[in-house]
Amino acid sequence: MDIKTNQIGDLLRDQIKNIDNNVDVNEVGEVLEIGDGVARTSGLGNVMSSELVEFPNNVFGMALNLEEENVGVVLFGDSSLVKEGDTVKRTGKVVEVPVGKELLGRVVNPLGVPMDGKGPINAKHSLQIERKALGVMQRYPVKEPLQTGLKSIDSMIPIGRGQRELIIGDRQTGKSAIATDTIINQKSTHSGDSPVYCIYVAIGQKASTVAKLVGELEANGAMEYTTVVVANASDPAPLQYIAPYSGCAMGEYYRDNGMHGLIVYDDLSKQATAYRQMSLVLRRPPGREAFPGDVFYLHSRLLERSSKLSEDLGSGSLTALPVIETQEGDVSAYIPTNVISITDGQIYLDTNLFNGGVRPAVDVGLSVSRVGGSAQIKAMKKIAGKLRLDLAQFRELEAFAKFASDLDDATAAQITRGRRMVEILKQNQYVPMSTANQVLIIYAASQGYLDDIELESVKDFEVGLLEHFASKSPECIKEIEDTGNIGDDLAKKMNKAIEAFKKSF
Amino acid sequence: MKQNHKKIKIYSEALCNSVDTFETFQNVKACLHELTALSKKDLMINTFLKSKSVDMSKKMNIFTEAFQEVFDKNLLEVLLVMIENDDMNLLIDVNKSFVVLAKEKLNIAYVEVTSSADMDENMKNQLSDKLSDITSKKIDINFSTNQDLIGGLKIKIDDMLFDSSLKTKLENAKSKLIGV
Repeated sequence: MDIKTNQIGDLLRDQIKNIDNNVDVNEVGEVLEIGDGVARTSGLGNVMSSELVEFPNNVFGMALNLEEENVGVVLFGDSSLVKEGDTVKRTGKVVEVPVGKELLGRVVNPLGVPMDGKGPINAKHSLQIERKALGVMQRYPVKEPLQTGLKSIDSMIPIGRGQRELIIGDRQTGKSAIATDTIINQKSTHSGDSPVYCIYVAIGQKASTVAKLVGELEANGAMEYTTVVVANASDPAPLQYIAPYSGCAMGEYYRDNGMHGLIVYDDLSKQATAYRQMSLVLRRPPGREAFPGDVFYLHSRLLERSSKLSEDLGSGSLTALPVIETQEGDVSAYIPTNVISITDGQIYLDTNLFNGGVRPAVDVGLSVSRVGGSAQIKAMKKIAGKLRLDLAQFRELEAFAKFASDLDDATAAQITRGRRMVEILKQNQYVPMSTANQVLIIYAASQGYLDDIELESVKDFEVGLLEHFASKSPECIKEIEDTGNIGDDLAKKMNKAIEAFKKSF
Repeated sequence: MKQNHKKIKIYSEALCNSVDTFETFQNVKACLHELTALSKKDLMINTFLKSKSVDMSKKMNIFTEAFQEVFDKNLLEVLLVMIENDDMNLLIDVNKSFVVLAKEKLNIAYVEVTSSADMDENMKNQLSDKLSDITSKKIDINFSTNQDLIGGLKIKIDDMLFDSSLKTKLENAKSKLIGV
């Protein structure tokens, strides 16, 4: 840009002329004590709950405990910059964040401040982070599918737009991987008429882990439609506490404007821990596992905001994928049971399956989707029932088969089928699969075409079969995509194509 | 803690009932301020007031003789009850609570004026009268100087801060120019 010195001078003069010359009027209070990221202040008689207040040195806080004698404020910045006797100013605003498509491709903190060095965000709209969930009359049942691109989930634990599906499991079982793959898979929706915009909320994670994730999303072209909200492990607990609400407000913008949003909270256990820390420092009475009494409300008011809107309100949706980390597979702990009861189903990831090479390590027995079935396409519904049955029978017989030396033909056949089913459900990370391809391979397996294929060759068979369909029978793929169903004619065509490929395999 | 809160309320209400005019309020406030400052500064007085080993009646006699000429009669009585109940450790909180209650009762606004340079008496009086007119309240005013303000004034009326200092204006200008 070519700007001359006198132009810069003019620009500066214009700016200085426009500066407000009025007296600064603020309602103020005084810091009585400060420590552990919490300040107790006197004054601020008219402060609202969750109002943003300003301390010296550009440190902001949120008024949480409105008591008779003082106000408890949690700090979003460095508490060492605030000292006793400092003046604290009301801003008159409840904490709000910028929202809109200007945030796509950006990494922001829970206050909406950019963290990626790509310059300021010129968002036209902003929303309060704490908003009331919609009532019954504004909602509509879940009816459209949200494809994750993962065979095991889309077939047996289908997720619908507006659903809240919990991803739960021990550490290092691939919880974030499922969330990331789901975001990457939404790329396909952006070539259609109902794109899904994504928000990934990283709570209490290492900065390096988040940086790696952003890199992967960028490499897969997913950042174009994604916003990442980050409250790292090193950030103050209040920032980790508000991060999911900030992300949710960003997602609600899409929902309320007739668009579709997907939000991942990774993870809510760390948010609950941050809230516990804050509550204890604010001297709120501790309850079970030292969590405060309102820890259920912490998650229920957040997850209730994900919904499918009625046609009158534009039919938008916000789907939530909250993540919870369990300790030693204990799903009956306080926070996991709370979140399980709030959500519309859960995807349970098992450490043994993960270590046994089944990835994604979805435990089909413990996983469930309560409302997603009605959003599943007919073709998938038809084949998924058989898949679920085959896998259930396989699980029952698998342990038994380890001890038995002789098996009858029927049992051996069921075990053979089950092993192949498990094999085709394995999927590498960052390789989501289209629904049509998922239908094709699961159909082939459920019809028994893989039963005589060596277990080690199942993966090669899958790749080859999908290539064969793409090159030799693309009309089958197109028909599944167009009709979403497998009619008799299509079934015959598919059988013929699979048999033809099998001969050449 | 809750017990102390109750006691503070009782003592401060008793003090508040004893003041009827702005002048008596200022007198009681100044006495309490002096006493708290003294007990903070002087270890001997502090120890004497809080000591449990000194006989209670002796303590009250010494206190009465020392302050009966200086302190308002009602104030002295409340302080003697506090000594009798061994509650002198609540003096600072009682003082704070009394000021809040009395301000409300007598319609007084507490004003802090901070300027970059010293103001002469005439200016101070003018400002005080003007503020009293604007707020329709009696003004309990304090003046201080802070050279960091560069120019202008900061006037704090109870919880409201009116800031026309050059320092704040420059800070606001800076934020606008860099677009924060």
